[in-house]
Amino acid sequence: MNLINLFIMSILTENIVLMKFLGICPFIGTSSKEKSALGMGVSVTIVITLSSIITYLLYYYILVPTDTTYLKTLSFVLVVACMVQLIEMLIKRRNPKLYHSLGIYLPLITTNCAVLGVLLLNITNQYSFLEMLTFSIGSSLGFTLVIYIFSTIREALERRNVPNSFKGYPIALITASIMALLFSRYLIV
Amino acid sequence: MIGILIMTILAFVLGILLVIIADKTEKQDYLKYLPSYNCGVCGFGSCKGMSDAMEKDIESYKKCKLLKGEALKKIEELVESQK
Repeated sequence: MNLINLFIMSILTENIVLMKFLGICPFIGTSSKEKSALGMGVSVTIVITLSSIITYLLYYYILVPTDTTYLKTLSFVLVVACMVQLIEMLIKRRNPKLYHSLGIYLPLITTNCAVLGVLLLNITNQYSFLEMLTFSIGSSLGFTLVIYIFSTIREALERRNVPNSFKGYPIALITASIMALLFSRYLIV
Repeated sequence: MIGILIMTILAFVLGILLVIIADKTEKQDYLKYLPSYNCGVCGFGSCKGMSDAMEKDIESYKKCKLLKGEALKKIEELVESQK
């Protein structure tokens, strides 16, 4: 029960983008087209899930016994960079079109703060392995969900009559703020 | 001291992992299936240009007028396996 709670919480009420404000850069950058947003979401999901498992084991089986927990940020960044390289190679090989539409944002997953944020939150919240897995998958699915919804809204907005000074990023940011209000638990209750 | 050791080993292991995966997902060499006449009928200038274009969009092979027989079959099999 607790796991289901955590899962839904990490997708909706504690959404990584809209409530914790992590990973805003790819959220704004790759959400202008539906397909690239979905590709970004899926690749972030894979990176977060893989690297959360690796970093969790790394932290509790290597860093804690050797009393070198001060290395966690550095070593986590290393793992994330490796995972992103891996995903980049796979996407380049399997889906060159997606690779070109994501462009610079694909290697930039390395510096996506949502990824490192989830990994560090796993440790600071002292989750067990199952809770960690639930939280990581939930957060990354939340990221995918939000970036997909946002991209469809932005595609629809392009066809509407928006005042000149609001065109482009201003209206996108306003949309994001309204979405953040909708996702917050205070408005739901 | 132990921190440096851990980081070194970690970086080394991750590097080796990347090398192994890079080897497995090596790029397809389309150039060897193309006729190598460099005629330019396809519009890419040379067969090298064509193979670069195929990496971006594999359907580009249809523009090659000189692909016939076995070579064409092999490329079609490759395209099928990628779908």
